[in-house]
Amino acid sequence: MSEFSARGIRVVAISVDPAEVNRQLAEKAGLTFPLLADPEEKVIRRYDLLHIRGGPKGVDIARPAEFLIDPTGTVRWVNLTDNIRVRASGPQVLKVVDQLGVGARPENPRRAPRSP
Amino acid sequence: MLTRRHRTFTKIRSLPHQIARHLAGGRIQPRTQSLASLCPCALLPKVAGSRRERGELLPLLGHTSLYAQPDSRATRKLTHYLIPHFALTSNVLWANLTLFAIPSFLLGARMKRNSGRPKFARGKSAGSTLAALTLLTVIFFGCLNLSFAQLPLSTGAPSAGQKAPDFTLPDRDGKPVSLSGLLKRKETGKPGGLVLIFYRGYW
Repeated sequence: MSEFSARGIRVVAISVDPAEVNRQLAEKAGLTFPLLADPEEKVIRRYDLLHIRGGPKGVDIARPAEFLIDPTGTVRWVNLTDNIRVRASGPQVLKVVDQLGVGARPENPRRAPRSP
Repeated sequence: MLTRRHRTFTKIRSLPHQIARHLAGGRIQPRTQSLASLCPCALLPKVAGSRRERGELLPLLGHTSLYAQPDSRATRKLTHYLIPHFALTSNVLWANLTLFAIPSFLLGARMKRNSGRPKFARGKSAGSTLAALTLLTVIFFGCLNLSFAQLPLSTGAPSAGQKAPDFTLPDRDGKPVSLSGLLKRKETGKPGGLVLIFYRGYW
């Protein structure tokens, strides 16, 4: 995570879980980035990531996706995985960040810690 | 018929097996001190001789390894207390399937060998029962995983070069957070950027 902040990049995660669940999850997993709650799926629909009946007991959830957005608000990179088990890892996203030149150059490169 | 090797092995007993023997009224054969004595198969009747006992362990290993799939939401709540997660490749069940294929092969070999001498093999069907159970579990979880695999196309999602739609959502403390607020330059003056992750939820 420090590698992301060294480049001035914020990380934010969104799901249909309400704020209380997000709080517990953040405490349990020690996550430092914000977890945003979208229980009515407004933003999930806006980004066309709704997975109808994809959750347990047939509820609608978001399909996993990662977006890299630059300061002007333009999407620079999208990762829509076909397999729900395969997600972009922290070092992978960092590589994309450096390749696309989003954010600042870090002053002293260190080994990237595992991003949550 | 007890061989000399078997008599030597009977001197080595393990505590779980002693308990199991006591519970079963002494009807169980004494066993070698192998890994097999630690698992519930201690209650099953066993053939004298260590090689076959180790063969009994493999189907049980194959069966329990199925529960070691990380990321499988259906199994996680059920069995995460059974065994720790192994660091297998989380994408395909290669390791699990191999662990199942080996005992199936050994079982096939043993059943073929035992079919010629029914008196010897009486009551030794625990391995085949376990293998059948494993097969059923594999099929069941395979169907479950397939049903999770159909993801929507999401053609409307913003692609590279498009503007990300703005939004405002509450964070875990209830404070509203907006996309434009997140993208504003940080105080240190470094140009910002944002990694936006959508995840399934229902933790």
